[in-house]
Amino acid sequence: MVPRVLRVRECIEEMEGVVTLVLEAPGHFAFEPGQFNMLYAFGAGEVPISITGDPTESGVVRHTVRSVGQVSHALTRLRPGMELGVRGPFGRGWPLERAEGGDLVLAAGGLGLAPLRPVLRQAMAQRSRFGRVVLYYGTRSPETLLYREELAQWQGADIEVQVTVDRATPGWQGHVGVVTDLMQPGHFDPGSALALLCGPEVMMRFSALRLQELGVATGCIHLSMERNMHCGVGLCGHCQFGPKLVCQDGPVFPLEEVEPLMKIREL
Amino acid sequence: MTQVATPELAELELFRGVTAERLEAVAPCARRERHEAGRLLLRQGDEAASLHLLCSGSVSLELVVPGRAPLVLETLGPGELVGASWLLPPARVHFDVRAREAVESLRFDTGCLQRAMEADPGLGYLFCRRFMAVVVRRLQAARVQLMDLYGHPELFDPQRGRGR
Repeated sequence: MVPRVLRVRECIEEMEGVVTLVLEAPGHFAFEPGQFNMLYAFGAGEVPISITGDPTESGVVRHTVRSVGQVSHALTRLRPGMELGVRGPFGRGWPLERAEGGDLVLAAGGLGLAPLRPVLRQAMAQRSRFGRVVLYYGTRSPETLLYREELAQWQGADIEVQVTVDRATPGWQGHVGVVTDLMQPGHFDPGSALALLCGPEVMMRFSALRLQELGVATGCIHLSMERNMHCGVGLCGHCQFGPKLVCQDGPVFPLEEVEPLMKIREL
Repeated sequence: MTQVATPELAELELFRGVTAERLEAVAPCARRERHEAGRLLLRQGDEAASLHLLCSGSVSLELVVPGRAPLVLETLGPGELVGASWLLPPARVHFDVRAREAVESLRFDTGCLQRAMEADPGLGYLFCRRFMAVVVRRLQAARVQLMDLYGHPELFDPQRGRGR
């Protein structure tokens, strides 16, 4: 429960209001893709942020933060050499072992690409463990593409990267439309595919429906839920989602566990 | 531009389950066409005399605004229909449809198609339902795009912005 104090090594401005913090973590900061840390901006407060680094990377831990409130704003204003508190890693990550030998389908919306980045790094490093690897990524506009350079690297590493934007700007040559339009028969084998979704809940709901339409079994679809995590260890109850606590039981859930809950408007 | 044989139509999702007799009524309305990248398949404001079923490649739906670069509203790929405006008067094309790469499509003469649908109301009803499915899916997608899901996450989870 006591935060470790880590120093900021680098701040990468991904786009306006979105920064990737590279924190110095002596030794190896072990985590599972999909887990999160509680980041404490001194004097401002603490927020849960997904870990976005490569699980095999030593000496650093990475988080991508969007400024949406006072704490996250304070985090995005940190500069190299400054310190912050880190608790974690917390929660249940992506069940990557279930994808072994089969196809891996990732659907990300907006900043939802951040918690999937460790999966992509792992898939790239251990490409032979998986069949086809497909990333469907939808975002607002070409200016809000996250990890722009890495998207090309992933494509080069035998990962099929499909990107779409809601609003095109002059010069954009890619797809325009919703992320579900990218999901077409033939991209992957629905019988062997494990699908991992991360993004706004509405986007995940539509993506799950489309993947089911394409033949992916409900039990093979997992999604990362976001709720108001405070303690990170299942004590405070702030992130309660029906009978689940997102910080402990999630943030990654099998669709079949959360589908009935997602239909309850009060949750 | 080549004619299309009935068995070719039968393989397409749009014509799934349509009887051979009905396909024979529709086949004369269709021509297979190739379009180079950059070419317009349909032009905003023109009479909606053609409906395209995309076989390969992709197109962009563009809104033409005088004095400005065209605004790309959506991109569409194989299996998609473009030109559904022909169904309702005044039957004008609402957007430019431009090939983003080499495109192969089946172009349907909408006058011919309309005659076939009116001569056989069962066929007309079937196609109206299938065209309606396309229109409803596009409407739903447009609504989701309008929500600007990725731009304002706090709108979709009120907890997110609070204190964070």
